[in-house]
Amino acid sequence: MQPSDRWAATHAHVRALLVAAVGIAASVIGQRSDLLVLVTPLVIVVVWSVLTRPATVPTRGMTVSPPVLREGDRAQLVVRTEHVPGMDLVATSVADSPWVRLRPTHGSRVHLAGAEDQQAGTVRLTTGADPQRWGTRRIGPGLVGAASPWGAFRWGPVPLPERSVRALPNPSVFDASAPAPHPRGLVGLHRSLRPGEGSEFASIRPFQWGDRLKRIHWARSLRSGELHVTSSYADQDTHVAVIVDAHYDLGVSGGASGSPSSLDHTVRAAAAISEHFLHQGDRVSLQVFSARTPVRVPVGAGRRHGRRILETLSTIVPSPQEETDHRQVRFGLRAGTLVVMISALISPQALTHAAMLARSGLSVVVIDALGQDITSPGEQEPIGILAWRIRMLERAREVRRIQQAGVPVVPWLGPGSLDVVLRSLARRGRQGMVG
Amino acid sequence: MRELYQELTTASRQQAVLRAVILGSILAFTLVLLIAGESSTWAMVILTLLGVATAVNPHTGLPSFVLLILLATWAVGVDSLWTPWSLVAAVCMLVLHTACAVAAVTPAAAPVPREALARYAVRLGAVAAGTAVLWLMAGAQQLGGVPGGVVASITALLVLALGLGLHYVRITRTSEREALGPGSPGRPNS
Repeated sequence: MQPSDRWAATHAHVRALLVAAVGIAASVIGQRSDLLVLVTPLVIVVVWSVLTRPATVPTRGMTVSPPVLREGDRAQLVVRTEHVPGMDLVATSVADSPWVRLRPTHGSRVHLAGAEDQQAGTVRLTTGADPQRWGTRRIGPGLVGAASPWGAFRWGPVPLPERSVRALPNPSVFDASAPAPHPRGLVGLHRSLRPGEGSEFASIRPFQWGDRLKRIHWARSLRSGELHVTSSYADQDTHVAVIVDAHYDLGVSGGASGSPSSLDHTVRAAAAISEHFLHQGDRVSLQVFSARTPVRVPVGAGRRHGRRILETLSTIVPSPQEETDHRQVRFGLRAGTLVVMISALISPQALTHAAMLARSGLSVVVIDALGQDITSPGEQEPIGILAWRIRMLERAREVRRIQQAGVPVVPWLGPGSLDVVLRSLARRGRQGMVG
Repeated sequence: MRELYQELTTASRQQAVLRAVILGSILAFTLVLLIAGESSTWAMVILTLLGVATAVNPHTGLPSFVLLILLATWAVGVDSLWTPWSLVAAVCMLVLHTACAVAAVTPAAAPVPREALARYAVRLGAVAAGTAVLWLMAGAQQLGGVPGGVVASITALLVLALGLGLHYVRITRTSEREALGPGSPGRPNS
């Protein structure tokens, strides 16, 4: 039990009692009726306060609604307190949390308990708590307290444990009109390359052993005197493998409405690309490079899968990874898969993986998520700035080399970022140069 | 000290008004004291300074000290046993006490609802009306010359002691028991 979790007399009540007692005693001893008049209001206040003292400690709770939302969206922290007789003013206060904007900014509320609250049996105080950046955001802890009439007795402030809200990344504006290269299916917008079981007509061909009887094309068979069947394209959809490099987070994030850091760029771009291809009906998988959150979402399609990818993206914590096994990166990626790697390209490991995936025959596109306005991390000392410039030169050389190896590297610029690259990949064969 | 500074700089408009009312009530009491009796310039200056200090610290023990000082300066400075100004002085003390109480139980940054201020205004009116009745009774007693006497004084003091004892039993001990009791009355929902 918290020491403050009871109705305790306040300074105000002790003050009224003390001054009233001293005043009465002085008026009686000194035969001064004017002193009695002076303290009469305080006597009335003391009697009023004692008669209306709340007898029970209210129950309380704190919830956040909705528990999952997009970054920048509005959430509400609701503190519910049981209404007990004698409760007059109820106050709440919510502590400041990183990446959470409180409404009002000071996070404090005062409510006058009235007849409506008495009927409902509950007092509700709502404070806006809007997560300003993707990720799991903690809201609180909070404090709740109440006072009886004349501020004579006070319950609390009682601490309320913090609540967490999951802020999904807000996908950057993105729209690709170009088709995915090497499409493998019909479920999405992209046509399959190979025949198989499906509903899309491909051709009429002579009957082969194993063909289903329902596929026999009777008109053609009667005309030619030989059994013919209709063939179709396979009902499989394109697999887009999104690989996120979360080794580092460079730059200072300004939240949903401010300037993005490199990881903000990365996560929002990944969310946009995943949503785009899932919306087209393609299958999308996700893989994250990070020592702390090395997660992998298997390939899937549909809105629920999109939600799962966004939730996984929101759990990313940047952390450098010493080494990643290339076989793990390659695992589950079949021929024809489009690999979209999103990286700030600070760690050479991501580029190495991209080159190896391209060499193994997959279509790979690397999205440069470093951003234009990101400066050297850490303190702006001359040696640090120099080191950063050297690293940037090395990075430019690494990017050139991987482009020469046939892996396109495009900066993330929002709408149409990938159009040229995807068209080029679709036109060319699996080998070749795209820059 | 830093917390106090932060509290004052982030205070809501209603809190600022409450603090102004605290200072205003003390200044009004000082003015009434000047009209109804005798008082020195030093007393005025000290009461004003105490008013400022109380407005800054309404949640401490300072308002109790200030109220006792006001009571003492009245007892010393005003000779008349019944004066119309005693009612005004009593209302000033009530307003001072109430403003301090409300300012102390609400977070400084949070706006106090207008309905709450209205409700307290009604309560102040009711208590002031009750005080006016007693003030009239005191006036009638002065005019009628009803004698007090030792017995009445002793009876009054006994009633006071009885009231304080009752308060101790009903409020103070109950509160202590709640604080020390093994069963927690608080039931968090979630």
